[in-house]
Amino acid sequence: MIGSYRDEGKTVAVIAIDPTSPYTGGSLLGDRIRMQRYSTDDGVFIKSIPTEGWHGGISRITTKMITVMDAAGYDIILVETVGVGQAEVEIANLVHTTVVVLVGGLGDYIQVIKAGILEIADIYVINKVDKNDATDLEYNLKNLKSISDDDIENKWEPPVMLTQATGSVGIGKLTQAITMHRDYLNKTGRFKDFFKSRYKTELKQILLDHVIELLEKKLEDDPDFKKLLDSKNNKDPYSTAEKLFLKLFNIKNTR
Amino acid sequence: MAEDKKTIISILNKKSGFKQDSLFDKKTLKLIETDFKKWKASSVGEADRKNWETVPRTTLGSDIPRKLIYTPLDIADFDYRKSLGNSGEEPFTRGVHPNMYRGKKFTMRQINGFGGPEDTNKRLKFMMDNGATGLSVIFDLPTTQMYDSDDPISAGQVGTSGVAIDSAVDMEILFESIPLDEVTVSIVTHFPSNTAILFPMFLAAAEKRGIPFDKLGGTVQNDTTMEEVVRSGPEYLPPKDVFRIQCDNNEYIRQNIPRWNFTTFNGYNMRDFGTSSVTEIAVAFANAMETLENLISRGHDVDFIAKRLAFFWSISNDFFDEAARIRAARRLWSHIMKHKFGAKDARSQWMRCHVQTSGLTLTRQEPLNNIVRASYQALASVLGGAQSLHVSSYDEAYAVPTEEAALLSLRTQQIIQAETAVTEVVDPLGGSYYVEALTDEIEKRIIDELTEIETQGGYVAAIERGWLHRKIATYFQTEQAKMESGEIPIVGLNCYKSNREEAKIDVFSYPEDAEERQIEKIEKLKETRDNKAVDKVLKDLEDACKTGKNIIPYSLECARAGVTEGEVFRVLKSSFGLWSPPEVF
Amino acid sequence: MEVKIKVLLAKLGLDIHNRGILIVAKNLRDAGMEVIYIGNSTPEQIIGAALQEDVDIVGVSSLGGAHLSLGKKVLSLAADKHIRDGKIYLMGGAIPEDDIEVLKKDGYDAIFTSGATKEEIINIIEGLVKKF
Repeated sequence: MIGSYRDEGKTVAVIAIDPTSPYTGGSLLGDRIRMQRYSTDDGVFIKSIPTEGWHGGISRITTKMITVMDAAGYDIILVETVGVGQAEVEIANLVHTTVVVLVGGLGDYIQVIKAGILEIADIYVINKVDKNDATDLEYNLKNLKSISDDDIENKWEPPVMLTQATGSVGIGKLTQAITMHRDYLNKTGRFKDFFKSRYKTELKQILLDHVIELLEKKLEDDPDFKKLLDSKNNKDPYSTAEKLFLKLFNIKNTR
Repeated sequence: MAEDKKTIISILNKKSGFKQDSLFDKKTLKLIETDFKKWKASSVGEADRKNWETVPRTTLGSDIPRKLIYTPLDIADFDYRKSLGNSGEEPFTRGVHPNMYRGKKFTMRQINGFGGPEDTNKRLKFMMDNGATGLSVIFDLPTTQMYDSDDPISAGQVGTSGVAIDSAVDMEILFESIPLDEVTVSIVTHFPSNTAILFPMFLAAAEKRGIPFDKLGGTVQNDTTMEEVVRSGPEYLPPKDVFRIQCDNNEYIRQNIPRWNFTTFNGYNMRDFGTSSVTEIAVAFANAMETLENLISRGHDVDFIAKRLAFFWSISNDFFDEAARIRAARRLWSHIMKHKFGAKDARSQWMRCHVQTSGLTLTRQEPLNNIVRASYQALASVLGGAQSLHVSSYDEAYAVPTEEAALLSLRTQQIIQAETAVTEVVDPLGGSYYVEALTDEIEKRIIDELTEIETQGGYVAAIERGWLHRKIATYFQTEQAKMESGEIPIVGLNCYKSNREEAKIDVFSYPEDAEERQIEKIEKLKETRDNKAVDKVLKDLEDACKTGKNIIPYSLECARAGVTEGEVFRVLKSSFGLWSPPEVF
Repeated sequence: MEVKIKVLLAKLGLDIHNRGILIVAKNLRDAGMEVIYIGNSTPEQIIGAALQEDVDIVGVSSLGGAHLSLGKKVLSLAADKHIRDGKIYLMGGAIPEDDIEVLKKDGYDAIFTSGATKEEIINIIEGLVKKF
């Protein structure tokens, strides 16, 4: 895709996200290697970041990064998330167009239904078309969206695209579809909605950050907390946590 | 896939054979068993009884447990004719030829290659003057990865770890005055893709010298595993296209260069990357079987193809495991060829192999130790019955071998052959209770892994799906930890370390002006060749790629027209697209 | 939030062996570092990536004999882009003794050869980071 946009003369910024190991806290960020040939192209900026345990499947600094890249003037910003999972739903609030990529024939359909990903897709892409039988998946996807219970007027119909990344087959059509979706957003005023939801997500993220930071600091400073953990006769964690929370934040128990 | 496609296990289980004619008399075995149990209970210490089976801690080992001692009880059903046969007879466990080394000494073939073709040409002549009976050429990194010496990506790497070859002209220089119709040459191209480019250049050079193709003898590596699984490179072609090129190479070579081994199905590089002795054979066999199936589907007769099939194994430290596995591989391959492919010619059943002593097992610390290691490894492979041998040089951890180190490797083989008398007798380990039990166990495990690959959908599918990458990554990450912790003892590195000052080793220094010379040559070539013809042959090659034709004849036309390697690779890339291997750590 | 050590690992040039660097990548990740592995790269690509990813350490692996020619290039390009002094530069591979001295003089903070263990590498890296 980067190649396609560069051919059009557009500048591209990429945020490639990979998971942080929950055991070691370290991470192996291996997305960049596939885009290596652009490392010396001034019109491309690639940033690899770990999820850092952020439950959204995206890094907590993703929004900030998008803003900075936008301010730096990149025409296109691509965010590549960790993979198929419930967490990916968060990303939909941060970007204009969400593309869900599936590989036909490997049971992705079931996984994807389970994850709730289908609802956030603006475009479906079935990759590696000539390797596996993608027609089953294509059929299922096309049928699924026609029975969606969203009955807003001027609904966007997520197209199903078939691509073959190794031969760049279909990539041109994909970038076209993305442009079409952008036009749709503009025409229907959805663009403004997008900004609102993004603002809300960002705000929540930042507030949550603050709260967590504050809580962790308080726990660190609280002399009783450590004693509590070492103590042998503790009540159940639920009531303990509730008591602690009320105490730390000075909230009167009104229940 | 056909419904009736039988699994490898079902085929091998149903194989016809003699009824079991056990070597041992049942009554005598009973007596032995009684004695053995008594002995074990009374003479053997408690600690040994508890640890009856131990797993050798070696590099690249098979993890097969070994008992304290082996007796006839361990091979109670041993049937001499079925399990071994005589040498040169089905199932060839004892050897491919009746007289083995008495008749045909193992070919002593040492790898050479550095600088420009003129530099390596001198070294090849030196080796021949000193008794080498076969030549082996390795290419530098740009040539291996299919970039021209004048490509910016090649800067600083021309001729530093192999010889630089950019065109058929270079091939002519490389083999100048070498009697290609008398000596066999191993052209270590590694991959199907670069084989498809470099081998035709070799052919074009031979043609220029008036040597007919049917007089040429040698080997190319041409292995998909090498190109897709155990190589690091900036660009990869998709596995199924690389496999297609592998089969194109095989088909063309088999049809046109009758004395040439069209592929050495590779275990070495994969093994040395990090896999067990069992996986090495299983993957190479899976590749070979899928290749045969492909060529048969192109209309060729299996006996015709199999005549020139050969394998390439790594030899590591577990002495008897290494010897036993070559025997196991021979027997299993013979059964596969006979029962799965219905080969009628006995020659088709031969598992001929070239072996190389493992590079991974060599250390930089106390490098002279490596001479000892390589000697034992070489001996194990001779006892196993390998056809030709490369002994890795002791300075392998530093750089390309110096002349002295290369010579010593050659001498290692010559001493085995001339002084130890080991080669006077065929399959000297045959009949050893231990070796026969181990051979059986290894064969069983190879079949298990072949079944695993079968479940993945075959060899190419196993690569596409990342199964093979993952299997290897798991193995070597675990093994590396053991090597560092000392769980796998390595003398001079993690045990028996000395504090003495290390003797300084002479390190080979490659000619630094090779890059300049090659760039000049390419310039000159592009000026003097017919560039219109070049455009045409490249276009024809592209068409062949896209329409499923065998691409080798078209590559040969390119070689004749003076096309450079990088130019051909560009056509392959644009025809097939690029592939990203799975990330596994 | 703890600041992680960020490392860029690359194979220098066209070298075909990547077992060593893959092992190092995994070990560094297991030690809690953020590792970006970019495979076979030219010195230009390495420095381009080091800049964009804003790493603390640049580690290159060379077993193909190009450690001097390309290794030096990495450092000189780094100097051009003003990231020579702010980062730690490491090299690993099949490097002869004499060349190790040369590379260290040029500016490589540490050189690792065959036999270097996970502990050694991590200790040296952590030591270098502390000094910075």
